[in-house]
Amino acid sequence: MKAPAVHLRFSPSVLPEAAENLRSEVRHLLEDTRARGVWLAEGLSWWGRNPELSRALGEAGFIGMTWPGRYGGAERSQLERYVVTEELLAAGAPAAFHWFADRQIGPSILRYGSEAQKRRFLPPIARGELSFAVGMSEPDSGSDLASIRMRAERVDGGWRLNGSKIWTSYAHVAEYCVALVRTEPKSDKRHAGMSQVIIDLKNANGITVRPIIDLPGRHDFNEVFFEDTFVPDDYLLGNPGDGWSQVTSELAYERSGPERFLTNFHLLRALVDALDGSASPAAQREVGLLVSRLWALRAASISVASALEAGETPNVESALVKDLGTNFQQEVPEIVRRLVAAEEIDDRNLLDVLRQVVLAAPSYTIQGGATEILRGIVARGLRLR
Amino acid sequence: MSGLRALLLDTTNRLFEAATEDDVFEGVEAGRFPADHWRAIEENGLADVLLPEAAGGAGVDFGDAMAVARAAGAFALPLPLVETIIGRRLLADAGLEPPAGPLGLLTAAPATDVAWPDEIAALVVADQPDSVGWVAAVDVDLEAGTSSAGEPVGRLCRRPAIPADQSGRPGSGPSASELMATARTAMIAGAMERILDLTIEHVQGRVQFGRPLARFQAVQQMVAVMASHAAVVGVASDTAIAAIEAATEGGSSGAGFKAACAKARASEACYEVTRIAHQLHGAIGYTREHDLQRFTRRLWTWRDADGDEGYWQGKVGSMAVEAGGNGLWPLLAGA
Repeated sequence: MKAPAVHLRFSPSVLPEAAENLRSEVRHLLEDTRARGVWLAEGLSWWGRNPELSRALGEAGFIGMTWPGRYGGAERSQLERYVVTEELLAAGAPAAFHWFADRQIGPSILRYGSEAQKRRFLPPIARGELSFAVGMSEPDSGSDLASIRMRAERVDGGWRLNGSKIWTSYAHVAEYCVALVRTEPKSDKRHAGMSQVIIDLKNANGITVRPIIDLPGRHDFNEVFFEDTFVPDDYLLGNPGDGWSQVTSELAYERSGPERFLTNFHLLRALVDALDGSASPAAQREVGLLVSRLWALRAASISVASALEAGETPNVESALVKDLGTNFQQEVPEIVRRLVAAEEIDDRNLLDVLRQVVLAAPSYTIQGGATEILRGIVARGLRLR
Repeated sequence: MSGLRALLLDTTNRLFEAATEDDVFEGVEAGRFPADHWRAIEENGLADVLLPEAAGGAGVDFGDAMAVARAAGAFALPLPLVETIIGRRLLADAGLEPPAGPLGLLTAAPATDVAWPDEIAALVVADQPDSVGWVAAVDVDLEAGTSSAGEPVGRLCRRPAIPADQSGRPGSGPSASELMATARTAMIAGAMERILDLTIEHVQGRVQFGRPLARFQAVQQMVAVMASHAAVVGVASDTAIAAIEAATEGGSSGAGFKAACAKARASEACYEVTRIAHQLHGAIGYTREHDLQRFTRRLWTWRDADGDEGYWQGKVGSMAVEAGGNGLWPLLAGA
């Protein structure tokens, strides 16, 4: 037998010194703003939305930090951004105000946008002043994103939009939305004829936003209807017809980031706090199970981040991190429940966080690519399909 | 990969390929030690890879030695090579001359069955923080048994007394149990890489209902899950190795935490990887005729060896509880 073929391998990576050095800066800013009452950990982690904290982060150069200085960026590496992101998550800081613009909209504008779009949108995003929503799914298009129907028709001076988007988080408060729309009718080529448009949610005509209440009872989601909504020519992002490749090129960033395994880190932290320095051997093993899994996921995620920094497109690896990471996150509250019972823990804070996390857990393996889709991507990477 | 490591792996793969022919395994199952293959491996210096050059070693780094351990897993090498590599290094670090021949190794992790009890020259005893030494195998009381992999093993009846002139102070680097946990994780990672390869080959070649198994979505999803576990164990292994390497060079610590996390994760993943591999191989995989069992049976041995997942989870958990809520993230992030 010869040595086995290697089908998938993460290169081990360590975060560079420059990135590690940022940690204390971020921690300091978070402690300071928290002490001043700017934010409090609400059990929502980064899904919380706090414009004031986002502005403080923007001021400190922690939003759009990889972008060129002329667009308000700090010209830092992806790995430096990685450290900032994980510090926000580890602290459970509310970051949804700037999250989507920082993670995917801004990079898309930087990569595909016109000079005017870059100058107009990137600096205020980086200052933490401009919030974007992401318009991808539609009522009949969830995992099968390529089946979207929302149309953009050519009209004098721009485009006329008709259709609807759903699960559009924070569309009721965000200033803008970037939506994937059809600029040509459906054809045999499934991925052709789509484009991305920037929509001014506050000022454009014909927009209706319907709130959708999620399991924890919050209003993040919306269904957004567009009826003859006009967007000017210069709000088309990238080339008409390139929408599909534009949205998929950013998926590795969306999928492999630390939010895929640190979204409920605050629960693990609350558990360790509640144990207060002493735990039975059985409880220690359960904590160790969670911590060792988290550690290994982080090693994989850092490997993907390093590959991205090196200009690679590790889509298979990032799908894998998202699958394992979100499944891990779903198990966390179940293991904590067992421990609460076995160790007879009566800690108000822990039980509150636990209740919220149980309600939020089903979303982890759906948003940003459902488990089954991700495993299909991994299987394709292994040449099984 | 460095040129030196590529060269080392070239030799390693050639020797391991020869040492894992069908007839070798037939002999092993019957309790026969493949002495000629051991000799070839020893003569080529593989048992000494971790020794300093002054002590007759190859002068390669820890990562290179662990590439050999990973290959031992990928070939299901039925020899106590990794124990010997680590054992010789521990003795050399304590200023002792390692005895020739294969070694058994006792660390602070729950007593592991010693592989090939009638063939080893000595047992290296490194279960205490302040002393390391060796005892000739004839003076060690071992109860004979067989591992799930079909290799002869001996269970230690009592901790042997170490002759004073065969004992020394351990080096300042990572402990014996951390080194062995890391090495065993590398072996597990290698075996998982092989199992994934065998499984992909099987589902692509095996036709049922008129199409290869790989065309069934249910099968694709299972292979994806297995591949995910194997890949994460791979990166966990490499990350722990890098940490040990840094610690050996006197760099940042955290190696103990990382080695513990890595072995906990690797041992835990053995269940999912072997379960899926056997499910997808069907009945033929449940026979001694098929190669799969060489690797799955070793995973069932190695997940328990040098501390099972429960042991290492307990270590990780006690570090986490001690760190407390505020210290938990710095523990994980290493800063």
